[in-house]
Amino acid sequence: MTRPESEKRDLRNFKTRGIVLKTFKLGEADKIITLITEAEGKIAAVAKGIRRTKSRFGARLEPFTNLNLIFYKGRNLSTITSADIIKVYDGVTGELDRIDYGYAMLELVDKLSVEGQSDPRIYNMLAKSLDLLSRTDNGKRLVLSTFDIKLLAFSGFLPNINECTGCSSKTGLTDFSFTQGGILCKRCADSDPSSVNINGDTIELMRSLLLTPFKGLKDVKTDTATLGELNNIIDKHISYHLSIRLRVRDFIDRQASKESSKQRI
Amino acid sequence: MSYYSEPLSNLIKELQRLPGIGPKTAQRLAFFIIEGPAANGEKLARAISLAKTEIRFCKQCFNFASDDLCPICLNSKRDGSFICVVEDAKDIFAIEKTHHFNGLYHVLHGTISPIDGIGPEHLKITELIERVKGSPVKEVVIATNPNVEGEQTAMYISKLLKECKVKVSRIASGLPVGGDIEYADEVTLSRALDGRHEI
Ligand SMILES: [Zn+2]
Ligand SMILES: [Zn+2]
Repeated sequence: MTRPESEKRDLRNFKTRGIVLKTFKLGEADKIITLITEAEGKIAAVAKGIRRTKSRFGARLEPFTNLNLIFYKGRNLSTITSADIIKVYDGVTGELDRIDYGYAMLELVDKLSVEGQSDPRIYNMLAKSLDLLSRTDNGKRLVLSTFDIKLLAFSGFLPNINECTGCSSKTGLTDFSFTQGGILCKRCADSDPSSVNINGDTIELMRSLLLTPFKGLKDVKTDTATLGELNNIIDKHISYHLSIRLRVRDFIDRQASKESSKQRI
Repeated sequence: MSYYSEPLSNLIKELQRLPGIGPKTAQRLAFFIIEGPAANGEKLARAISLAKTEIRFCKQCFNFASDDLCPICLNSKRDGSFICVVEDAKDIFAIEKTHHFNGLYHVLHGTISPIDGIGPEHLKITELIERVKGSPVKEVVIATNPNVEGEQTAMYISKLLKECKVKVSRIASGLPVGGDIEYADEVTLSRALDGRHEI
């Protein structure tokens, strides 16, 4: 069946909402903008002339910006032909720890998404998380941890936190295995040298962050030690299963260890 | 499989590596060099090789220099109580063109960029703090680019400078966010310098 000529032409233009994940300088004045979009998943597209100070795009195509976009499909890369701001998460960019947590979200979306695969839940959850991060004063790190766990679930990388990964036992769960990708009971852990201890509270926290909607996060009770253990295990789980280093999380750890060594002196 | 002899096609190939030079322009430049007097070609070659071997970083501000200090740091007419912090040495030229700043500079050689793994330890930030500590510097003007990375770098530096009891200011938002300082016109940049605010 042949389409009418007008409709054919329109196939090269497409519209969707998207959040800027990262930008990369291209040539003298252009940038490649990587976005997570609602309708088309992850897209890398060219923004022409954006680095000139008179560019019509101005600040719009910066990380932490949510936009209504129109793309023109090119042979290799698409080009952004229109970009209108829905929301700038300037609550995130206005403070050093928020910006680091925000970048950690953007990086994880970038690393877990593959171009050409679309999942509108990822765009929607990132928008919600950035919005919450920009408004939260207590529990900023908890917002990031919740985001991590939900995103891992959407992408099929969530560790097994239901039952023992070895024998399906529902009780006596004491360890976490990076090679098997989930929790273990004491007996199964003895035969897995890669396993590390995990607190019962940490397992409970993982389960509750998976199920709690963002608006219910303020009611989640936890302490620094439990959240710290959860973050540590999740970060290691991600690096193990994706065989990548998450640069932003390394950066956050480096900054934190510098701060604490300063306090010790 | 070129129409040109090898030395000529080599020259075209090398010229084409330069920013903003496409194949057509590279070819035009190559012909210009070859058809001109031999002395001119040699002068150009020598200027390039001298620049590459002689230029190093200024020990004080990390601008390009041919001695220990750059011409700006050496100039006794410059006001040492102001330091303008820029991302890149190219930004110095943009600001100098405005004739609106008579202090000294400090070149960071980049911005903090967690996503690229670039932390403060990769930039000349420790050097800036050391330079300001116990010096007659009264004000540090942070002129990083008005984008997310530039803002983050500015916030980080101002946090560290709080301990140094020095006024820290940020160039005004007259600059369109997202644009590069390097490309700003003189009028906009002058206004941004005049309208800086304390942070
Ligand atoms: Zn078991
Ligand atoms: Zn200098």
